[in-house]
This record gives sequence, C-alpha cells and structure tokens, in this order.
Amino acid sequence: MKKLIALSFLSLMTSQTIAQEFTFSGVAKGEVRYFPEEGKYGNTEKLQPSFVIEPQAMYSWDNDRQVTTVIPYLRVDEQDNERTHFDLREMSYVGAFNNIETRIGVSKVFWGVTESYHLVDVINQSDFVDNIDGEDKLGQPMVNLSYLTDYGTFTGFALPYFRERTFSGSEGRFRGPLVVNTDKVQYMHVDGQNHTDYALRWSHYFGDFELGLSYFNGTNRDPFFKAISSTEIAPIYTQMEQYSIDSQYIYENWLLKTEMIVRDSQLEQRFFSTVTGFEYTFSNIKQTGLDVGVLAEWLYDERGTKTQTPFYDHTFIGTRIALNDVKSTEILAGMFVNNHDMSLTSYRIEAERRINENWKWEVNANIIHEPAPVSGLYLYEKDSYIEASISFYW
Amino acid sequence: MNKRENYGARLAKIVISNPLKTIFFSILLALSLGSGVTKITMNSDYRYFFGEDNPQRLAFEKLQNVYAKDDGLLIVLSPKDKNVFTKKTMIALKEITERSWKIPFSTRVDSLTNFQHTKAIEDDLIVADLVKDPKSLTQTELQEIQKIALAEPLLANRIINPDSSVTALNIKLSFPGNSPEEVPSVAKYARELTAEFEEKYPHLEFRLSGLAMMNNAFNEAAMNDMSTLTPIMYAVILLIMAVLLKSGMAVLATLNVIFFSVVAGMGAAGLFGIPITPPSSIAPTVILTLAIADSIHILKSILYSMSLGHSKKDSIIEAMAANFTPVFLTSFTTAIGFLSLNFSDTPPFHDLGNITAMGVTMAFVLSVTLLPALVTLMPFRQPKKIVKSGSPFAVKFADWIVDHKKGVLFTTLFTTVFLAVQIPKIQLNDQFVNYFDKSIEFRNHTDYVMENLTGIYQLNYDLGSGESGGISNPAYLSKVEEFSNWLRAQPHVIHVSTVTDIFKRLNKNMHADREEFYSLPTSRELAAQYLLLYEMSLPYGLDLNNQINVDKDSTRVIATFSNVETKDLLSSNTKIEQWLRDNAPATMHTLGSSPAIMFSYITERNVKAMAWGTLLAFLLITGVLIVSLRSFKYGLISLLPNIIPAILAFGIWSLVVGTAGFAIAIVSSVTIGIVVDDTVHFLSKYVRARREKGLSTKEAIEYSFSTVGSALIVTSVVLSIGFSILMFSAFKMNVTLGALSALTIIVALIADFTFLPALLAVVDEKEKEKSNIKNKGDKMKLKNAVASIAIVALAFGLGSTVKAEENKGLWVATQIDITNEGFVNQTANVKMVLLNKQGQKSTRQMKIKTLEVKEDGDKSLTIFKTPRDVKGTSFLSFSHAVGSDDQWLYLPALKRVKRISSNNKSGPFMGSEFAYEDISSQEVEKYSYEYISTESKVSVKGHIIERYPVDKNSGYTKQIVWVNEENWTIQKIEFYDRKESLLKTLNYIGYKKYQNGKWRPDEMHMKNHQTGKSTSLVWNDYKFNQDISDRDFNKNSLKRLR
Repeated sequence: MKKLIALSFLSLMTSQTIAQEFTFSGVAKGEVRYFPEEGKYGNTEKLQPSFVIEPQAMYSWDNDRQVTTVIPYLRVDEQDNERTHFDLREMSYVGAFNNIETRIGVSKVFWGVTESYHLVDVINQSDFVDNIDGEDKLGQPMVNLSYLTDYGTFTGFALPYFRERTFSGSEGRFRGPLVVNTDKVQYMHVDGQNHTDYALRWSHYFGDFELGLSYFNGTNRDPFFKAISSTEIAPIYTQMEQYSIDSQYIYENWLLKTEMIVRDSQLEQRFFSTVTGFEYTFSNIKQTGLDVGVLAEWLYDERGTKTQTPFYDHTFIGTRIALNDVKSTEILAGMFVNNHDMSLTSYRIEAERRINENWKWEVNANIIHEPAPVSGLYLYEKDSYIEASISFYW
Repeated sequence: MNKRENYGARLAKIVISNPLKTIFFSILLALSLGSGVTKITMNSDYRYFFGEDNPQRLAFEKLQNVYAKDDGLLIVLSPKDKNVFTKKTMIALKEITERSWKIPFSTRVDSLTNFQHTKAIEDDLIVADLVKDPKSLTQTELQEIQKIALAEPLLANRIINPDSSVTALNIKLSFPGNSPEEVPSVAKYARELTAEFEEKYPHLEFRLSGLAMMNNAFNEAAMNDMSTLTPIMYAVILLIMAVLLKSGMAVLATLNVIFFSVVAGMGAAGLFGIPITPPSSIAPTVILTLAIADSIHILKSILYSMSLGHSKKDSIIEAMAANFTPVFLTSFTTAIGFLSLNFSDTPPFHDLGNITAMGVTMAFVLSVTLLPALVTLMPFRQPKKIVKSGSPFAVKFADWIVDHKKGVLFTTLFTTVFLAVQIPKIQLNDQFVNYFDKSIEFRNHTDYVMENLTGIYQLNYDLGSGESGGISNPAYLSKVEEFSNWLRAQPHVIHVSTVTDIFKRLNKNMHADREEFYSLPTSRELAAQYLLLYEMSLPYGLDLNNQINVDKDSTRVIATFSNVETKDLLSSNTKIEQWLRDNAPATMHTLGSSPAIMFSYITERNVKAMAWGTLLAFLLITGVLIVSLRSFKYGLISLLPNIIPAILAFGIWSLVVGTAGFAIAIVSSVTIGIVVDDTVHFLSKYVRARREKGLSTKEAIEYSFSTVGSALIVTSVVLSIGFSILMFSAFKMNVTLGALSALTIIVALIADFTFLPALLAVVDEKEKEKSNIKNKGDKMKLKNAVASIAIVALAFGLGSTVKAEENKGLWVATQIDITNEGFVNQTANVKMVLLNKQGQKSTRQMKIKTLEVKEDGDKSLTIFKTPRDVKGTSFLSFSHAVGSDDQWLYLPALKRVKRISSNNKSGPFMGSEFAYEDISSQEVEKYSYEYISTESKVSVKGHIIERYPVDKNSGYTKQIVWVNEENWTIQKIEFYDRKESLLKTLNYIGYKKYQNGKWRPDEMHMKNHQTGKSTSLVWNDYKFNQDISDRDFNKNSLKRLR
C-alpha cells in the first residue's frame, strides 16, 4: 500500500500537471462535556475536557481527477485514557480514469440516506469513544474500484484489514459495570484482524428517485461480548453477510427515505432491520431564508431488545432549523420514542454557528431519559451530558 | 333507479311528511343568514378595486404620502353670459371659495380668487389673493385679473379655460377613512352648497366632479343597480314563470325560493362584512337568475308527472328523485365558477363571486326543501295532460345533426377558429369616467369638465434631486423645466403642473416684473431665497407641500390629459418614463403613477390573475363531470362544448362591439359554471341511453333531444334574460358582464345542440367501426384525436393573445442563449462578498465549474474554499430546461453525498443575497417573456424584457432584464417578489470578451432593496474549454473535491 502511495506521488511529478493544487488545512477543537450526574460505575467525574486536532493535506491534479489526501486525527482527553487516541482518518489516493475510479489507502465511505441512524453504512468502524451517535468513523484501509455507466455506478471494495471499535476506559462514561478490554479481543475467523472483507454496491438515480443496493461479506462491525473476569468483558467479532437497500424519493418538499438490511451473522439468527421515514422542509419561510425541516423516522430491528444498537422499535422525531444566514446558524433537535410504551428514551439537541472566517462554536446536549432496564441505553442512564466546543479552522 | 337518485326520493319523503317543519326550518335558516342584511355596508373608495398589494396602487399611495392627497372635489362654475370675469361672478366665486373651507374634511381650496398672486413693489415681494375685494372691482381691474389668470400656467386649463367661460374650485379633501359615510356626506354637502348658490346667483350653473365625486358615484351606481335591476328582474321572472308553469301556485312557490335565496346570500354578505360595490351590487340579480333555474327544473317535473295522473305526493318524489343530482351538480359547478373569481386582482369581484356562490348554495338547499314542502301544502289542481309536442321536431333535428355530423363539426370548428382569431382585436379601455353611464350625474358633469375646462386623467412624476434642499439647484430646476416643456408638447397633454413655473414667476417679480426675467433663477442661493420668501407669505392651507416634499429634495410634476383612451395614456406614460431615463439623471428616473394608471393596468392584471382561476374552475368542473358521468371519455368530450362558447362569445363581441373593460376578465369564470349545465344534462341523458337502454348513438342522441331539449332551451332563455337585465345597469362593467354572459349562454345552447351531438356521433361511431374493422378504426380514431387536439390547440393558441411583443421578448432571451452557446465548459474562481446594512463584510471563496449540455440545462459544480469550516463542501447541479433540477450536496466531514430537493430555489445561497435560482443556469425555457422596450443610450443599444418564472417554487413573479444588443449580454436584472414589489437588483459589471469570443462579467452585484444587504460575486481566472467533461460532473467527482 505504501508503495502505491509512493507510486502515486511519483506519477504526480511525471504527469503533465495542469491545474494542480496543494492545500493544507484542518481543524483544532476544544470541547468540554458536562455530566449533571455522577456515573454509576465509579466514573464519577462530571467534567470532561477534551482537545482534538485534525489537519489535512491534500494534493490534487489532472483537473481534480487525481487526488491524494492525508488526514491524521488526534484526541487528547483529560478523563479517559481510552478516549485519548490517534487515528489515521485518511491517507489515500483517488484516481479517475474515463469511467473508472479507484481509491487506494485508508479512507472513509458513506452509504445511506437516513438521519437518525445509519443502518446500511457498514464500511467504516464507528469511533465510539468520540461520540456514541455513530457519526464519527475510523479510517478503513481499502482498495475500491468504481465503474460509472449509464445504468448507475458499480463499486467493488476489498477491505484487507479490520478496525476494532473503540470503547471507553474505566474512567470514561458510556460503559456498563464491566469495562471493555480491547486487548482481549476475539475473532471468530482464523484470519482475525487481517481477514479481507468484500463489498459490492450499485447506486443510481432515476429523476427524483435515488437507489442503492449493497452487499457486504466480512467481519461484523458490531461486536458481541463475553465476560472474561468479574470486572471486564472482551469484544467478539463474528463474520457476517449483509444485503441492503437505501433509497430516497423527492416529492416537492418531501424527502421519503428508507434503509433496509438483512444481516446473517454468526452467534445470532438472520434478522431484518430498517430505518424508514421522511423529512419535510418548509423552505424559505416568509422569504427570510429560514428553513425548517421536520423529520420522522421509524427504527426497527427484528432482534428486539437483543439488538446491538440502542433502538429496536423506536420513532425518531426531529427538526432541523437552518437560518441560512451569513453565519450559517443551524439547530438540530430530535428525540427517540419507544413505540411500545411511548416513553421518550433519548433527546438530542445540536446548535452551531460560525463566529468568523476561522472560528465556529457548537453546543450539543444528549439526554438519556429513564431508559427501560431491558434497553441497551440503561447502562448509560446517568450519562446525559451537555457539550460545548469551539473550533478553529485554517 | 340507482342509489344516488334515491337521495332525492328519500329527502322528498321526509319533506312530504313534515311539510310545516320543513318550511319553518328552511325559512328560519334563510332568515338567520338574512339577518345580516342590516349589517351590509357600502364601500365607495375607488382604491377598493385594487388589491392591497397591487403595485400601481402601492406606487400611488407612496406618492400620496410624500405629497398631499389627491382626493379632490371640483366645483365647476359656468356663468350663463360665458364670461367669468364679471363683478357678480367674482363676488359669487369669492363667497363660494370661503364657504368651501367648511366642506367636511377639506384641507385646501384653490380658486381664481384665492390664487396667491405675486408681484414686486420695489424690492419687496408681495404675495396676495388675486381677487381681494370683488365688490370694488372696476372693469380695468377685471381685465387685468383675466390677463394674469390666463397667463398663469398654474391656472390656465386647470382652474380657468382659455375662453374665460368656465372656472372651477379645486378642493382637496383628506378622508380619515373611518366610516363609509364620509364620501356621501361630502357629496351631500357639496350638492347642498351648489344648490344654495344656484338659487342665490341664478346666472351661474354649477357642476361637481373630481375623485371624491367619482367615489360617490360608485356608491350611487351600486344603489341604483340594486334599486332598479332587482325590481325589473322580479317583473321578468313573474312573466316567464306565468308563461312556463301556467300555475299561480307554482309561481308563488318559486318566488318564495328565490326571495329567500337572495335574502340569505345578501345577509351572509352582511355577516361576513363583505361591502357592496357596483360589481357586487348585481349579486341579487345573478342569484335570482340562477335560483329560478333550479326551481323550474323541479316544478316542471312535478307538473308533468301530475299531468300524467300521478298523485301530487308521488309526483314530488318522482321529480326529486330525477332532479336532485342534476340540480346539485349544476349548483355545485356554478358555485365553483363563481368562487374562482377569488383569483381576480380586484376585491369587488371576490365579493361578487362569494355572495353569488353563497346564494346559489342556498337556492339549491331551498329548492329541495322549501319548494317541495310548499307544493305539498298548496292546493294544486291537476294540470291538463301535457303532450310532449316537441318530440317529433326534436327527433328530426337530432337526425339532421347526426346525418350531417361532419359538416356541423367542421362548421363549428371553422367558426371557432375564425372567431378565436378575432379575440385579440378587442380593444381594452378602462377610462374610469366611462364606467358610469349618462344617467349618473358624475359622468355628465365630468364629461362637461373634460370638454370645457380641463382633463380628469392625470399622471404624476416624482422627480428626486438626490440631495436635501436639492430643488433649488439650478441644474435640477432646468432639467425639470426641460421635462415640463417637453411634456407640454406631447399629444393629449392639456396641462402640466410644475414648480418651475413658480420659480420663473418669482424671478420675474424679483426683477421688477420684467418679462425678460421670466426664467429660472441662475443661482442656488437665489432660488432657495425666493422659495423661502414665497412660502413665508402663503396663508395657511395654500402652502407648496402638494408640489414639493418636506425635505425639499424632490418635486412632483403632474401632467393632465384630455379624454384619452387607456392605451394612449399607457403609451404616453411609457414614452415619458423613457424620456426621463434617456435625458435625466438617475435620481429623476421614476415611474408615472395615478388612479388613471391604476385603472389602466386593471384589465391586464385581472386577465392574468383570472387565467389561473378560470383554468382551475375548468379543471375542477371537468373533474366533477368525469365523476358524475362515471366516464373519462365523456368527461373529456365535455371539454370542447364547455370551452367553445366562451371563444365564440368573445369573438362575436370583438366583431360587434370591439372594446371592453376589465369585466371581460371574469366572464369566462362566471359563465363556465352555467354553460356546463347544458352539457351535463345532455351528456347524462345520452350516457344513460347508451348504457342503460342500450341504444345506438343515433337513438341516444334522439333520446337526449326529446327528453332534455325543451328544458335546456327554457333554462338557457331564462338565464340569458336574467343576465341581459344587467345591461340596464348604470355601471358599464356590469353591462359588459351581463351582455357577454348572456351571449355566452345562448352560444353554449347552440353548441350543445349542434356541435356536441355531432361530436358524439363522430366519436362513438368511429368506435363502432373500430370493432368491425379494427385497424382502420384505430387509425381513424387516432386521426380523429389528432385532428381535434390540433384544432383545439389552434383555437387556444389564437385565443390566448400571443402578442408580437411576447415573441420579441422570447427572441431576445433566445439571442442571449445562442450567443452563449458553444463555450463547452468553463471554470472560474469566485469571491463572494456579503455586506449587511451596517456595512459589515464577510467573504466566501469558491470555485465554479460549468459544463455546457446541448439541448438541456448545464451541469455545474461549486466547491467552497472559505469560510474554512465549509471548505470542501460542494454542490452539484444538473439543471433542466423543463422540470426541476437534480442537486446533490457533499459534506466532507461525513463524506456524505446528499441528494437535496431543488424546490428550495428561492432560499438564500450560503447566506447571500443570491437565491439558488439566481446562480443556477438560466435556461430559456424556465421563463415566459414579454418585450418591454428598446433602450438606446449614447453608447449601448439594448432591449428591456420581462420574464416570468415558469416554476411555481420560484421566489419571483417577474424579472426585468436589461440586455445589451451588441453582444447580447445581460446588463441588469430587477427581481420582483411574490408581492410584485421590487426585491433585488442585479448589476453585471465589467464585461470582457475572452479568447473564445464569449463575454463574461467581472462582477455581479446583487442589492436587496428590502433588507439593504448586498452581495457581490467577483469572478476571476475564467478559463474555457478545459479538459473537463461529463465524467467530472457526478456524485463520485464530488468526493474528490476539497
């Protein structure tokens, strides 16, 4: 892989480089989380300051058809040693040649259409210590090849190395009574972390209808656990096959979305899961530029309470308010309702606004409200928090 | 008998068994609505004819806020000896001038006697009444006064005519607008005043005019209509019913229904606070007309059934069963037609539509409750056996039509096309004085004023100087004078009121009244000083605020026109506005405004607004027909006989009458719901004969003729008579509406008796052939369909007034498009500079790549570089000539490509003053066009076009585009928002020609007039014909950009 990157740098020098461009940019972010309650399992600190730096170097040439990108990532956390971590988010070469595009190196790939939960997005492992919402992902080594045709884009992935999920340490929040010991990880396949996963995807659009079909075969990104001592558990990674559909239809101000998967994994029965819903946008209200989006999504998992995710038959109701002003002010708010007892399980609010060319602030709140004891969220009962951050972009 | 007909029978049974209760409750319902009658108010403000957001109204109100209000009253004095300048007339004039201050709400009185005459005595400026003490006037003094008055531009042709035979007092009024009684009270006072003076000075004749009297005339015309038309209508109804029903009791029952329908409709108007204006004053007549049709249908059935020997109760049940659905349908479609008047730009039409729709609904309710209940209780003798004598003739007629179906079809279509071509020739004329016929005093007096003294149609131009106190600037004044002199030389202009005349007079006075100094002051200080001196000497109420604004930075020039037609007034206005743009500095570029302008645009605006309303009503009604006939085919067939009558009627009108006012905009909507009734009755009988009786096409047509033929003739005659009665209205618009509607209804009857059966015969027989010789049938059917579509399209194309100017607008747009064709692709770096009202600046940088797509909209990629937090965010758009664009947004942090809705095109792009639609590819097909004018400045020859976005999600109603003719580049675009007020102006700055021969601007500057914010797009590094192609514009390529 390193050879390939070196090769690409070489080719960069030899090719007639029209429209070449080098940029160095990035973000440094200071954030602090405040937990109103002490943790249940000895993790009693209420304040969790943290610092993140994520620089980005990018070189593109051949009219942006060939690009190399390097993005390292470092988080330093005051509380949790496990949360202090380094990751290579991106170190890749992408080249487009006629109808073929290839991506080699460590990179990130997103699939899907829904907002509350990303069900079909399976290539990258979640960086769980960064954020429990699953939006932050670890860099994934890959080779992929896309073929662009009039009948859609066909992509094949080979993923030669597996990234383990990150978990909070004993000082951190978002853990159960037993700490996850990632050093004692177990794999069901003999190749362990070096198992090569495969994935195929076809995506296309027909007017206002977008459709993606994907297949994945390899190490399950969601771990199972096994107790290894009275204080620790170890993650177990199984092999799985997954078929998925993601589609979206635009009708006037409506976005109708659905994601569906069928997963067949070791250690559990084959199951079906879906996130289906809509987003309606009241756009440019009273000619002020204000957009208010209303979202509702149904999260269903056939496994019920045995699910590896916190939600198995929940409805997400949310809103997205964008002022579309010079400062790009945006507010997102949402809540998850358990469809069985109509109890509110979790709320999220996010607000962000640019300060000037380089600075931006964000405030998030994630509230976990009296989760049912059977729910996966029960472990995080005391882990509601408010987070404020300020970022410097350059 | 099917289930739906049973509703009628069921209801009939209930009514028959409880007649007293039914009568009690239905009358109670009508009366409880009718109780609102006491709350009915009149609205006599001409402004009510214009919606709150009518742009011409807004412009005029803005002007009135700056200067004094123009709601004037003109008292005209004509001495019988044809000489104003006599002692006794001057005495009377002085007295009435003083008395006029006591007219309610008066704020200023201008007359010959209190004219502020200036003269110089040595170095002092003396300002005094022109006629101070009329009793002591000598003959020489009178001649002196006459000389001064006729030489004074402010007076001649305005207050005094050149013959000195007529003079006037101009009284400005300022209505607080709290009570509808304000205008009538002024009119009453003025009439009493003039009556008193006529008695005291018998040698004088008095007349009253002005906008205040016009407002009052609206009042009086509405009262007049209500008090004359309604009795005529009742008389006619009695006559018709006596002839048709031949039963006194039936007439009595019908009278009850229509009386209570009208009472309920008008009462509901009172309850909802709908004011009465001339257009809505005809609502009772219209309701009467429509209600009687309902009743006749049911009563005729009852009487017919009784004549066959059935009992009265059975006859009622039978009649209700047969007529409930058709009567409901016809009432429903009529209500839809009238409700569509709400699309109009003129609120009185909304009122007419809503009152009538309520009345029609009530008429339906009463026809199926009160009417059968009354019949149950009333003693009816069994009518003589009615022989359907019409039948043999009807059958013969039907046979003739079927035999000559092709001839009939082609004659109709040819006539339709011929008449459709005539429609655009209708001259639109909205001279508001002529809205009133000569039975209204205002019309006579105003005609007299226009013939003998001055004009009533005016145009106001608000000329700004751009600086406080700038009206004293000699350069500005000389420009205003140049403008005024030019105006005076224009055709139809009989008077120009301008402040420069006062300056010239003052300059002369200050130079010892020497004629050679009758010119503008040469220095600013001098001018300012004259103005100060003059204003200080003016008595209360005669100041210059009606000509100069408080800041003294602008003045108003008023041009008064003779009795001109609106098209001439509009073309004069266009010419004047153009003159200002060509010859005057930018601060003086202004648009003419006045009530005359407001009325001149009223037809155009109403036609545009009603086009949608009519279309919607049409679609709804066709939908109703498809459902009620339970046949898609016959529903569609019904389209033609429903459209054609309106085309024919307009065409005939064009040939016979030739001119029309804005009533024309609503005729189609009013008649569509009525015209459709004929089609409904005919088609439903036809379909029933085909389906249930299994008759052949020819037999079914015969059946339809013999069953509904006479009923259709009767109702059409009744309806057309009802609408004809509107021709007795004193309000011309109602006359036009009545005449055109009556015409349409008669034409519709003819079409339904000739064209519809012929069409049915052709279509259904073709189908039969199809089953015999399938191939041929298909071909014929196809040919048939193509032919009828082509003919309808032709008729529509001709009917929709495709003006040459619209084509020229499209032509200009196409030139822009063609000139820009062949750039293949382009890239550019763009800096966006956002400025808020306080001048705070923020910037964004982006790169925009565009790929030309032949035969469709272009593809574009926008990549953000700053602000840094959105770096790498990119936006991919495939614009389409027709239909919505495809758009994707790439969020680099999540590596997520999101398909987004392009409906939000009116929203701001990155918080800037550019909306998404402003930066997307400007395809020709995205707008419709109209050509405005040719503009030629010293260096640039160009065109101004208006374009109207096709997409309903656009944030604009129109855009005015300035185009340079030499290189077909857009110079400027003005964007008008949904309220049709100016929202933004986009200026293209610094066009350069690039090596591929294409012109590109260096900067696009967008100014938002409503928020004061602005955004500049500064374009750098334009590159064309790069090595980029279709494969660089897709979802994958988005992810490569940072």
